[in-house]
Amino acid sequence: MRRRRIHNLRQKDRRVTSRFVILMPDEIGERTNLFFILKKLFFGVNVMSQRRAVVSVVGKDQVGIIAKVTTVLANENVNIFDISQTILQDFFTMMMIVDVTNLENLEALQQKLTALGEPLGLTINVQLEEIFHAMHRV
Amino acid sequence: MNIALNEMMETIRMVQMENLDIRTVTMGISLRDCADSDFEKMNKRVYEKITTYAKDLKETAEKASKEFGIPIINKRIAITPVAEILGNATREEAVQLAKTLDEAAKTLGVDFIGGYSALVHKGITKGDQTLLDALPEALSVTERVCASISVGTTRAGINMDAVRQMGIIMKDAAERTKDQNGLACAKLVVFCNPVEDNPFMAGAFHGAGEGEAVVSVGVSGPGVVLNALKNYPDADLGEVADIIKKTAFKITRAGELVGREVAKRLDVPFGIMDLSLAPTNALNDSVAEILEEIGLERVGTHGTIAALALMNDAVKKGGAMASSYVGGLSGAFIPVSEDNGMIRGIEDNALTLSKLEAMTCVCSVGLDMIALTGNVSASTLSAIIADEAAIGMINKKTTAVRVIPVPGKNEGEMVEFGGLLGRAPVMGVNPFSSEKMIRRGGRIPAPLQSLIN
Repeated sequence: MRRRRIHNLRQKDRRVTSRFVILMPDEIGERTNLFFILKKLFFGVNVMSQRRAVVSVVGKDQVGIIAKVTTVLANENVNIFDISQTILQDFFTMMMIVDVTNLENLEALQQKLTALGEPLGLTINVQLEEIFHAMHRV
Repeated sequence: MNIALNEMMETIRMVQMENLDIRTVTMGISLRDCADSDFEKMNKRVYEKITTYAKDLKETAEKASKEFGIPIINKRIAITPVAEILGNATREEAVQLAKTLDEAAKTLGVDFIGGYSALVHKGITKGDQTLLDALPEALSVTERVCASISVGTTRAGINMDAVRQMGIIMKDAAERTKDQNGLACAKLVVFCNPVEDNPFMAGAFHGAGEGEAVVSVGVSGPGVVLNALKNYPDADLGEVADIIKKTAFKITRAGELVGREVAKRLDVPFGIMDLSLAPTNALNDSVAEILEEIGLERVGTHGTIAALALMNDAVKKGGAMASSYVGGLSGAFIPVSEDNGMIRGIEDNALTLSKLEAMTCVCSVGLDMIALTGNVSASTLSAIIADEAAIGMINKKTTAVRVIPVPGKNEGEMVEFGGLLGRAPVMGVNPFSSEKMIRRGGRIPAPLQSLIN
């Protein structure tokens, strides 16, 4: 999945300005593998300037949840990095990591997703990813 | 490292089901430069400074709250202790200043403004006395102004003349707001060893060592700790402490992140994180219920203090590692009216005033939001304050008294304060008098710092 994310970045990120990237300590800790560090340097992907958010969808399982949610995201021109999904005791749970670097107004997206979720009995939240890192990683 | 699905779920569950929230983002503002011999000028400057510095506080906090998906319940202001800038002002002018502060709070949309305060733990200056004289009226004619008075410290001892006055002031303030169950007293705290950077009301003020403006944060999360413990019904007490520690760590990290972001957006330095577990009347958001989960049938029974000591220390240990700057009161609050478990403990006669006093020896603050019978005398109130101050002075910790002598109510009746302040059963006091001791006045000398048994 890691590989796919980097691949995605290479494909989508046209705002790349610098080939020299300062790796944050947690980035280094995450992949001490020299290959990956070199790969980042080579592609010049500036990971630091990204703003990512987590879209969480929780509710009763039904047909077409992913299609509906991703349609809203696509209409807002929001790229998806990662999707994971599971069914827990009849409850549909999905988490998506999305790129909100160019999305100034997170609230507007939240409102659209809330409007989508409510009639379907789904709770949909958009939260900046940092909060999860703060709580679950030292 | 990527965040796993179950970790994301945990965060979302904490917020949506277990009442994880940031209780308060408090902006401290220095008012020293507003002092002026002309009261009208000072009054105007105070209003302008507060409403300028904090004009974006509410909006910025609300935006950050939505982006991170963590509710920020209260936005508040703490100011330089007002007594320090009163100078030659009269009692009426001091009341007028309280109204100005109230007005500023309403303009900004903050629910409380703290710092109508005086530090009189050793002596009382002219300005301090003016503030003390104005207190009952100031608190009864304003809605959002909070007052705190420091009557003792470990290094100065206890100023018993101030303690005597506070008993009278509390009675007066309660009487003036008798149609609201003595609500004015809910906005008045009497401290021993107050801290300068406390973001929680009613005791927040912007201390002398603080900068021009600062943003401090108080998190909360008794519900989160309670639910974490419920997953381990058979853990031993060492493991219980560990679970609390880990949970406090997560709560604090969330608070610190959001607090720093708000401070950054307001372009104001980040002050401190206050690690206190502050309960609310929401279901399961109770410190008492954590103690009961540890293994007490009802809060207040034997073992309560041991459980509270364990919990309080574990919260501090987890929180201290999670934040770069820990300050404020940082521990567990045990306000009766804001904690459904405490209320039930009193109703079931498990929890008494004496036990609450004893609990304050090992937890964060003191006798908090306790309703007392209306016929309690001023000297008994003073004596209650003196007892708490002595506990704080000897144990080198902050203690406080925020009790409400509810006019016309008797032991066992229930009173409503409304909103976040909740409801409380009226408690009785010891019927014997402390009048003579309080009448003696003077100062209780500072204690020895050695020979500490």
